[in-house]
Amino acid sequence: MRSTAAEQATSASESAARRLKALLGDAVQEPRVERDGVLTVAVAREAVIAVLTELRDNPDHEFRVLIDLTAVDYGHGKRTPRFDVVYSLLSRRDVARIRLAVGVDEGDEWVPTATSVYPCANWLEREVYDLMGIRFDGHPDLKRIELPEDYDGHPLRKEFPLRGGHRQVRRPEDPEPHFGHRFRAR
Amino acid sequence: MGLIQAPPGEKTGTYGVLLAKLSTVVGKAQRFSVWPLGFGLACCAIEMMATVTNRMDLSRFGGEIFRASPRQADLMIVAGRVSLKMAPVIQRLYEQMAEPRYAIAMGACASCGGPFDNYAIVQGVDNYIPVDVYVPGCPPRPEMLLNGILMLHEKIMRGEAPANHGGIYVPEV
Repeated sequence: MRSTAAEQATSASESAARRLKALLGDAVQEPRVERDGVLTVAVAREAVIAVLTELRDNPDHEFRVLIDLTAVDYGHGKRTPRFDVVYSLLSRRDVARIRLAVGVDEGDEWVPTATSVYPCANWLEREVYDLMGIRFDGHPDLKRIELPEDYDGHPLRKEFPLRGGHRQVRRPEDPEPHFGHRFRAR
Repeated sequence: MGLIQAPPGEKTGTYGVLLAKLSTVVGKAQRFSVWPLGFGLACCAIEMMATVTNRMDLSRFGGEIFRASPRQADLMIVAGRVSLKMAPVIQRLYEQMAEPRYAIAMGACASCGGPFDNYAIVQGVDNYIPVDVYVPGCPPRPEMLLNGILMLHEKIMRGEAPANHGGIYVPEV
């Protein structure tokens, strides 16, 4: 019984990947299976909204849940494109998972926003912007979510120093800490 | 002792006379009712809650009533890691507390940043507020926090707390 469900899930992901390839051709690369057994498809930036919409709306697989939206930095000069924006989708009906990887070049770090397709992408994209510096074109409110609003830099990039490059012990001559633009003392 | 009838009030040994410094007396009174502002930020908050439960029972020592507002609290227990975004909030809350006010840094993260030596975590809350007692641990056991609070009580009794101006408020008589 378990193996049938697993096979069903795998076949749902695979059929989704095949259908995407048939629909979009060049924009979608051959699927590969990652280490955790999830089918991963490389998608070009121009096609990502179409792919997400297709995966969500097609009644054959119904990947209606965006489980995660994150990014990978391979390091400056280590790989072209340098970044990968990764979308992890779940189909609750088939319990199937599929993953999209969108390559983003250094110096051209933007991706169209997925909030129109999956509303939960709002905060997930803010986190990617905060920590990696990848902008999301069309995002309703793209600003930092975890670090202070006036923080300088994107810490999860490979060249960012571990301790942030700022002094860790406050001295009396340091400026008073403040909340940023939101909380202004009256 | 019972043979000589002294006028009432005179020192015969039956009336007690205590000689002490005013600061000590005031300190002895103050330490019986130190109301915490529970500032539970992370995992240490769980152990702080455990200190208030009936097994450890902080209310024996006067600290039962955790006030939600800093205006009504005496003691700020910073329980958990302090991020760069949270630091100005902590400083503002400490400034809103009425004097005499005390602060305990509970756990390794509040004392020195703990295991998180990175861009986001403040390396010790004493970079932003004066701290009276540091309680190490990750997290400290409830008994350790209780020990830290009792150590603070002893500091108050001796008149050495609070850390922000090294004296207690003595009203003019």
